[in-house]
Amino acid sequence: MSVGLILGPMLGGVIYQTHGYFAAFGLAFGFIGVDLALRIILVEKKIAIRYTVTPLPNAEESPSIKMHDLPPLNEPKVDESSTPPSTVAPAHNVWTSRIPTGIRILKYPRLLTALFLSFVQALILSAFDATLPLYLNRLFGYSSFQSGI
Amino acid sequence: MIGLVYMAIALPVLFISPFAGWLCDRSGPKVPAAGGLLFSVPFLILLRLPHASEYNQAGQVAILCVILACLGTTLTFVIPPSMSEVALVVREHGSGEYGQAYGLFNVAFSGGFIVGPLWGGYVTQDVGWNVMVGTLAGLAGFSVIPVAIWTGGGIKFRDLGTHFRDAFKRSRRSHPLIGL
Repeated sequence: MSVGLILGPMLGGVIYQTHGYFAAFGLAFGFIGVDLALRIILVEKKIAIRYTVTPLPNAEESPSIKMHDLPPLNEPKVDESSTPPSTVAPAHNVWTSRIPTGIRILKYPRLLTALFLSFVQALILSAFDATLPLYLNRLFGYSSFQSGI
Repeated sequence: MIGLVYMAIALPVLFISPFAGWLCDRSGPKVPAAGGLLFSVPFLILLRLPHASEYNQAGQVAILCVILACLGTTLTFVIPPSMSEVALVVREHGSGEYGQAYGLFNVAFSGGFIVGPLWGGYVTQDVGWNVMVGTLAGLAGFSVIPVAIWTGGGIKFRDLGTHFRDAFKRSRRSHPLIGL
């Protein structure tokens, strides 16, 4: 992703110089078209699950039913097998499920730090995007079209 | 020529990024993120070195390109942790809403791309390039603090030294080239 962001100005400059203003935009639209096509081809995971093996929940339930039929010698085992569903269920209660996870997880400083990190990194890279050509122009007299490599 | 100067930042990203991702998976996101930011500070400050020169312009451009390449290398180690960290938080606290997590990541990333040119442009215009790279160095240096504390799960200040040492040892042991 960052390679694309950094190579963008370079590629745009070269195409602008060699093929003109509209060719630079043509390249952008071409890339958007490719992106759109790839997104249409891509199959969502949730939809893909529908077409793959479905009897997973049944397969998990049948042993637990057999566990219940066993004599109470295996009682702790039965408890262990029945706890995972009971711990998952409260996570989906009415109050928490009403807030989207994307907002709910914002309370964790770990996530905020990760977002701040990406913000800082993008800021540093893009600050050079804007100022480097002008700096080179002032220092060495490079024009913005002097991008022939 | 400007294209070549941009290449100085882009090429390290292109080649070192897979290694940075491997290191991020191996030692946890904290070490590459904090280390990358910390080491980017001196190179951001050094960017004030190149100066206009009548007789040795190529040398000055070469200095600039080398510094930018070093900066690109250090920042490469920041990218994989920031992306994987978002996914890790969702895996821990959510139930697989990676789409929303990636949306949040993109908000932050685009925010940086909006503020960055404004920051760079205004500061360069008002007080010059040297101060601009200095402020960027300050920002990178400041952001080491939250990253060292919270990235990869919160740790206690007492354990900070041990954590870094252990992670470094682990990465040394497991990599054939570093662990020579």
